[in-house]
Amino acid sequence: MSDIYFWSCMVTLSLVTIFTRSFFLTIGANLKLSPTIRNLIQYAPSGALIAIVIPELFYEKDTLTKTYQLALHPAQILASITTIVIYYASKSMLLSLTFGMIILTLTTYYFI
Amino acid sequence: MKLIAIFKSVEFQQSIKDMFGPSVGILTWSIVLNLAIIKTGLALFSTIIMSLTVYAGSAQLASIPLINGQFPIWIILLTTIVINSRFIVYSAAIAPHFQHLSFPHKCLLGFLNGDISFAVFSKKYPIAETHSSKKNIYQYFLGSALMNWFVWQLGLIIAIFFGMQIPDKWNFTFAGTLVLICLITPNVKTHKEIIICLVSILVAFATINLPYRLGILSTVLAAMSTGFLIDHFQRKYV
Repeated sequence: MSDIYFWSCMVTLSLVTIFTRSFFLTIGANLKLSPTIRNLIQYAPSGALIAIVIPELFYEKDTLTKTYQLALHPAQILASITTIVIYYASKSMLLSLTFGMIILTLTTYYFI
Repeated sequence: MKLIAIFKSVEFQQSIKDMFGPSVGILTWSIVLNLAIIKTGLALFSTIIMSLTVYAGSAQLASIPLINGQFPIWIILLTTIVINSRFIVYSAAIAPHFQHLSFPHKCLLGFLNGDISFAVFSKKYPIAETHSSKKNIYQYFLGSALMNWFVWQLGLIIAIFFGMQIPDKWNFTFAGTLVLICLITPNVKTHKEIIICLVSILVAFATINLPYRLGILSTVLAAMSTGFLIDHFQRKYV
């Protein structure tokens, strides 16, 4: 691989990061978004996070076909439920994380 | 120095504190992702440069096979724009707060706007509300965004030095998933939010194997459309 090709790729990828993440700050600053859409943007982060979590939680990536295959791990699901319950009760992320990981470790080693 | 005044501000320090829990997630995620990148055989120096300047985990991982295969640059460009498309939506959310800044300054803030720091920021300053004290918003945003960047680079360093020694059976990568679950939880309280969450989960399942991780953008659009439909029906029938 030539150096010129590699560095062109790096510059391109950096520009893509800046372009997408600052789109409505810079290039799209004069595009007027309707109040309706502006109001709906509040649901975007949860949507993205859910789409990132679901494969981690319920799927495994098949190394050959590079597709996600359903793979249920009871320990992971139990740990997730524990984390959600404790987070609702305590509002402390570190606490719920600690308990989630303890449940994960215990169920992995002693019950399955 | 102006920068020191920002670092000393209450909002900046509060922002750093609010990032402590989420940082565990950023760190484990960064280690896992950077380890995957190192394992693709990318040279160490290139891996470091990429992490510092590209700073977009899923886009980095997806582009490496394309770079190794010497694909035309326009294909790499389009692929990574699609993978990063959710950030365009995020940028619309932060844009009203930072309109008065210079072009390079706005590019820098945009560059630093990662998934987790954005989630923390939008929890503190809910997007639909208008905020009068814009000065404090800047300091808070910078705190979480810089923390996100530094913790991500720390993950790279750990992946380089210790990555190969971490046993798979530790399950430590799952901590990253648990942090993401914690970030979703506060956004699911009202009936409306529960419906949006359920629809998002269904769409995430249905679109999981779409190419270029288009499932993420599909789920974002589904969440927003569901919100729109609920508002529409509430106005009409309730």
